[in-house]
Amino acid sequence: MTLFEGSFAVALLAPVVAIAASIFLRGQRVFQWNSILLTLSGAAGMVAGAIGAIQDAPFTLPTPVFFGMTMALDKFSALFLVPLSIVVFCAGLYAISTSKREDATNRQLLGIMSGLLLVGMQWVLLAGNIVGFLAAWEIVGLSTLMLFVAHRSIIHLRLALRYFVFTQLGFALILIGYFLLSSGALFSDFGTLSYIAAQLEPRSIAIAFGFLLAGFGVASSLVPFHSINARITGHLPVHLAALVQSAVVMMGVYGFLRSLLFILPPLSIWYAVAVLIAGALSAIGGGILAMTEREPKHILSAVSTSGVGFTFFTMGIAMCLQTFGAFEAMNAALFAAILSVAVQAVAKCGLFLAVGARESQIRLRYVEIAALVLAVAAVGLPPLSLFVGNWMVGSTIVGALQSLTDVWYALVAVLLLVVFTLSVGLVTYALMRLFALTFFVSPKEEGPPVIADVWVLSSIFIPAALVIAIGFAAPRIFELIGAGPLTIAPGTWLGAIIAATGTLQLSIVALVIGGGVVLSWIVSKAFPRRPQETRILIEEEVIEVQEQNTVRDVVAARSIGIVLRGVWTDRCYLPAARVTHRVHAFARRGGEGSETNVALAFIVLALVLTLIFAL
Amino acid sequence: MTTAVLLLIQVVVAIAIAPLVLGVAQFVASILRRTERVVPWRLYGTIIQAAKQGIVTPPNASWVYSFSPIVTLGCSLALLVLFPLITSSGILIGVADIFVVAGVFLFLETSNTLGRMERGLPTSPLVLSLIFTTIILAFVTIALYAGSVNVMDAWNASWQSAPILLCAIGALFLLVLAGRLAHANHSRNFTGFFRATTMLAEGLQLTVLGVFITTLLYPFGLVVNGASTQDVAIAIGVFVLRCLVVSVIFGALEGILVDKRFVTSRNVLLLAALCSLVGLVLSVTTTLL
Repeated sequence: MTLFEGSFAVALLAPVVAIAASIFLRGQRVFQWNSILLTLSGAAGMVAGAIGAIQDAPFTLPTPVFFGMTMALDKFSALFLVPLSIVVFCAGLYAISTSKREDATNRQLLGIMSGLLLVGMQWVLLAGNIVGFLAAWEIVGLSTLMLFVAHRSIIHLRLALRYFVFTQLGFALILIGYFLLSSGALFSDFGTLSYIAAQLEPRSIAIAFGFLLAGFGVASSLVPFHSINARITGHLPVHLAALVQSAVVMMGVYGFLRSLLFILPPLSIWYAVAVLIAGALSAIGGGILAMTEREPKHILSAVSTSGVGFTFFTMGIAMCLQTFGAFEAMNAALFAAILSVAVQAVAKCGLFLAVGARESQIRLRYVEIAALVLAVAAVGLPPLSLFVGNWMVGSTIVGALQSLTDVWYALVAVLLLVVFTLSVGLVTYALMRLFALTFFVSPKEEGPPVIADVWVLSSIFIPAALVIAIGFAAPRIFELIGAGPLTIAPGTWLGAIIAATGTLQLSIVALVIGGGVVLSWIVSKAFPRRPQETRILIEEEVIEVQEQNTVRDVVAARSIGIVLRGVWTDRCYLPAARVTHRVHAFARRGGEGSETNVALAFIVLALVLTLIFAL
Repeated sequence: MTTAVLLLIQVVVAIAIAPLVLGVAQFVASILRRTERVVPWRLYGTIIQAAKQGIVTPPNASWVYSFSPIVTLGCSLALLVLFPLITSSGILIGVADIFVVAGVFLFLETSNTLGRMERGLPTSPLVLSLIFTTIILAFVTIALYAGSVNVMDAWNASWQSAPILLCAIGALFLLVLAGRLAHANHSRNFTGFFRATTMLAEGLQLTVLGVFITTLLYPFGLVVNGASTQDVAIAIGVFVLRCLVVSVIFGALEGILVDKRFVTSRNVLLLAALCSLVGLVLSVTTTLL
């Protein structure tokens, strides 16, 4: 058995075992085993997805299940299995910690449904025919509904009913769409479906496309179908909310993209316009909605709507470029859409968990920093990973603008550019507001701070680290998944992404921005810190509270900070300081160096390194 | 001289002159507003004095209080190496893409917004969108005429042959003006070293964008790789002259407009965004029709 087969088997079996364990176990152990098995499934899924995305041949599961259903992992589904598994892994890690405090009454039902949700999502990715896909889709919808029902009391049943109606509406629209495309042959696989669809009349294709866009729009919470998903998310526990808003929403994008790329025949520009309008409305509408919400989970749901809208918008651009025959630019837009949806899923999951950690009274500076990194990454500010996607989209639009010869098309390109810039700006403000509301405003029920354990911290730090790493590794990732022509020198730190207008070397961008910030920080370290003499300091009570907070912060930070600080102090700072002192002492013939000189030495060293690098 | 040395000269000269640019602007504004006179070079003393006070943190401030001014200064320093101020052949020429530059501006403004939120000051939800939109649309208009999306090549676009470019240049001008109106008393929110940092960053932003606008209007005085010492000296002189012109113009506008009822930073930003959009639409239609 190869590593791929082993990890794939574990990824698929672990949620099934979790369901079985939830049936047979009792009490607190249901949640504990459930979270451990989901984490295991996520970890194995990451490995299997990564290998599946690299290898060329699809991996077909040996046993066909009912009604000729086939399951296979091809490159495209593997690309979505990786972010899904990352989200499941992080949500599982968080749940390992919170399961000890969970006091829900329907433990078994919650355990079964969370396992079933994961099975459904994996099945959606693996389904090779229509019936399998639809069955998996229904499992995802119903298990999400049951999670909500099992977690909440009877007063929310009306909301549950509305959610049920919405999920069934989405399911029915997708079913009708596929029914029309397959001419009623719902048991055929996607390859046959593609063949049948190519024989259809344009009118039938147009109707089927409309149903599919609406159906997957409902699933992805596009405007105007966004509100119910946001309200449901607000009532779920934070790790399940992260799963629903990150992974389930991503499944909608996957379904639409799968239909677009592998099933539907080449479409005219009017179809692209429909996708563009749906995407633009959601990108802008979600951003505006996020600015009006006050509840952090609702803000995140609105940001999610905006992000998915942006992905649909990018897909619309790719469709437009296909109709113009600009296939290189179309590829850039498509990969930008896939990168965008994957990074957004990971960043949103991390943000949900960070918000949950703050709500459960975990007050830790590292968590706040990780949350800010995730927020900045979800926006797409340089040098974090989504900036690569934004840059590719922006460059593609500008490239199209430079090459277009028809004035109306050029004006549409200008409009697309305006939508792109406005949506990025709106989401940036919304996420900064989310950060401020979560971490600057004290919650109403402020209790004693909770010491964060390693599970909660890992569940937030891992996505934060990933959203940084994915950006720098983007050229290499693109090369591995078969988008080599979009890259230059992948695998090196000078690796770059190519688009219509130029290249993006994210490592150099990071060097420029990071260099400036680090330089400012080093200079600030040269100046002593002193408290401001204000009235508040005179009140002894306030001073006491501050001291207590400081002690708590130190205790909580010790578990992870001590190792990093030790490495930094012993291996980097002190040797550099010693050398600088010696050089300085030598220069002054025996004089002692001060901390200011150490900082200045760092600045000089950085400048020298920059010069050497430049020359 | 090599490109690295030229870039180093650009950075050092810009940092050295930034407080004077801001000081002259404040001096002109104080004359026009008939308030207490500000000596143009006073900011050097103010910055040094504030820096000497050390880092003063309010007791209830979070880490964002310290983070915001440092990121603002860091991004302002990053902008110094991305724009053609003295040299147009920087070692980072491949990075100075319009989206990177706009991204750095957005990052800078995001850290400012977050800092304001941390201190409980009012923030406008549309500011980030308007800034990003204005910069992208204005730079794309310039890129259409310059034939490159690289900011270093922007001065290839000549407004004499394409007067529509004046819309894009005007949009950038309004953007700087909005920044002046918004940040008129921004540094007073900080004390100590962070006040010094904020003032320096403010001066750097005014210098970078202001000089860039004058370079677009009169594209001369930039040196490239291999320039002689004499050429570099002339380029520095031109740069200083541009800085003084910019500071006088923006100081005068600040002095005249700062108390006007409808001339708020947000309104000027809105005007800048509209101006950049009109510029791009006109340039696209006139080119293709």
